[in-house]
Amino acid sequence: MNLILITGFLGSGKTTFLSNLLKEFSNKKIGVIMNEFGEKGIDGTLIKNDNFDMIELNNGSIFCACIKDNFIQAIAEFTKHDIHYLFIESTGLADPSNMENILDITKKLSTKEINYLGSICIIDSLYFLKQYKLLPALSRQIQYSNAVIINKIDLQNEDKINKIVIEIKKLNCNTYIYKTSFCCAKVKDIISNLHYSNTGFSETTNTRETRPKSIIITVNEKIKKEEFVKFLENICLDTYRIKGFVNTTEGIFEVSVVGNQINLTPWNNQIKSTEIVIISSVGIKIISRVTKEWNKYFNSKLSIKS
Amino acid sequence: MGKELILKTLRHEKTERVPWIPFAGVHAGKLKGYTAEEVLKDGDKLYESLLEVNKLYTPDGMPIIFDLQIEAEIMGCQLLWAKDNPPSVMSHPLQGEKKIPCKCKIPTAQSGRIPMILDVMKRIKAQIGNETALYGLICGPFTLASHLRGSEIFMDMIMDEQYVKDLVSYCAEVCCKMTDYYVDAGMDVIAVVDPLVSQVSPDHFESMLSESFTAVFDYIRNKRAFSSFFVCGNATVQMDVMCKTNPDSISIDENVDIKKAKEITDKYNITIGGNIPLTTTMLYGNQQDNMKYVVDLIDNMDNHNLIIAPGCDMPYDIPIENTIAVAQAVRQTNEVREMVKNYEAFDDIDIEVELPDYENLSNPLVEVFTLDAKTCAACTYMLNSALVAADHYGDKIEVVEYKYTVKEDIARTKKMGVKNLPSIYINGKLKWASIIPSRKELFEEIDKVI
Repeated sequence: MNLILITGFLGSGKTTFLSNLLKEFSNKKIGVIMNEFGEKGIDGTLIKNDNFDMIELNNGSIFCACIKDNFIQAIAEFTKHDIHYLFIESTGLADPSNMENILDITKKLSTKEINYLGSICIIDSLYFLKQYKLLPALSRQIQYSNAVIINKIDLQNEDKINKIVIEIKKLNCNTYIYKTSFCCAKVKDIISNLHYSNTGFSETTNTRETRPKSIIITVNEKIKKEEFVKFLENICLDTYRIKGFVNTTEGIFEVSVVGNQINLTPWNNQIKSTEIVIISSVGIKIISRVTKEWNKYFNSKLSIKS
Repeated sequence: MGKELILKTLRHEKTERVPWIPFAGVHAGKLKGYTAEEVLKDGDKLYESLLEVNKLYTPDGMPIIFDLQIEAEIMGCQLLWAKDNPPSVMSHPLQGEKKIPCKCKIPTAQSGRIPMILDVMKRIKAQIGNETALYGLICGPFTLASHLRGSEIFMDMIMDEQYVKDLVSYCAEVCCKMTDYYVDAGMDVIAVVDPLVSQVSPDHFESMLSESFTAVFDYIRNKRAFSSFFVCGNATVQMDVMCKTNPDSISIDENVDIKKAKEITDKYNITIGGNIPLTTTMLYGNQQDNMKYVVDLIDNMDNHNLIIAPGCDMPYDIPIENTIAVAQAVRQTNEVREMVKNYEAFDDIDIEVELPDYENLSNPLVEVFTLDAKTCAACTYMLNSALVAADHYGDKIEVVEYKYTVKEDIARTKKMGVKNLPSIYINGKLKWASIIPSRKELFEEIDKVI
């Protein structure tokens, strides 16, 4: 069983990359471990319809001691099935420094040989230079990567892209660097070029307390799209990431917000109700911020789950 | 109907009369002959006792359980149980270790005593929930933070504001989870009980605590429940900053002048509840004392946005007839007003106490005047800070506690002219009223007189 880890900050394009991988490898037996922050895996909804096996691990980073055991068991579980590739999508703030140690234990538990191909880190060229100095996990993701995909280059100038390349090389001179938009890299090439070299082991910085605060909001009534966008504009700077689905009078949309980049894409499947995961960059204050801004635009009752 | 009266009051509507809530926590057990420990641990005994509270005291609203140690116990604090008091916290998992706990320590619906409490909540809801507003009490984020960290938190407030902010915000997440469990079990009102708030300055409240409190009240409102901010001790100066966190109501004890406090809460259109004195009136007074206090409360204030309640958790041994008298005064105010028209309020306790000769002490004397460090969290931390000094200085100083639950100590407290509880006096001079000193501040004062 070949194992590939996908890392990258919130909104960098991990899920898009994973979707591309799944398309390219549709003739292979695929397993996915999805590690989400919120209590409900919104990412899970996006790709569940396709033909592969998936285990979702919520409530923390798979590298944190809190759920590391579940992560190891999940990998071991996949070795019992006929799987060629197991893709692991980590949380945005994952610090994979202890992956080596996790693999050691997993190999002892598993019935089949595990071939770790390495880690692919996706970075958002628009925000990377601002983010990585503030968030140590992002440097760790690059340090422990075997390939880095600089994504969204259509939104960034060449000068900045070059700066990003320099920063990446400072952190890890052995990693392959790819540049792309919409994660449209040649995924098969990336995978075949992956060569895992032991980057060593250190303690992860992921603990339950380094998890950013996330909340889930749900709304039953249909809401006006235009006002929903205003609402998003007003709260987006207090968040790392906003993701989910909204049911508006103009139809259902998939919501994806990174920084002040707000994207609403028409969604053709049914949803039960509007459900959005908000990952806060201002801690618990996000509850009050969301409540205040919501009440400005809507009469419909908002339900917040911490 | 009582419940509607409470809900109307919390919606800030006009009501035909003032509603009333007895905070019968451990006292509920007394009604059925159960100890505090029994009623806080055994669901059947708690259920039975609550029905008795409902029957005898005809409340408009009532709490299910009054124990600020439920969350702390789950999160690793050791408790000392008592027969006639709620348990007190004996150990602090973060003492000597300045950390934020793992989020996996946040109580779940299956942790500790929570399953028992949720079960009782659901049963009480089914039995009397249509007529009586039910209060789910959660430990406020600041008091919970101090349960976890111990009295070092007061030093942290000076040395490391960010840590306090982070720890309190973590505890606010615990509050949100507790709110989920209690609202889902049928609670109409979530009371965030944070006695320690009275022990810090409004500046500290605003810089380190208010964001978390505001988030919790917003969270409760989004859950379609009403909120209340319970505080004990002299929170007079905090009233304004407490209002700014936007709860639906605030509850205070006798240490705050309710008339003045109501002027502030009225400005924010927040309901205020309180403040029948727990010991002097409810525990040691007679029926007329209680009736008179309540009639005066009702007569001296605008009744809009007002709830009549004891100052805090009722002492176990409050005579049942006194609480009945309170209920009577609320429900038949006109008749009761006539009854107590010529009644002279309960006078000072007739016990002679001798004050020490403060000018000629052989060793510095640290006197801690409390409501009772076993039951009042603020008092526990005040006393603990003095005990730290006792440990440090050994027999070079003397530390004593005087409790307002002991008649002789009440007499002493009055003779000393103590205005706020808890307070610390050194050599007969008031040093800290309500505000808990950090280790450094306390040691500096002691060093001056040693």
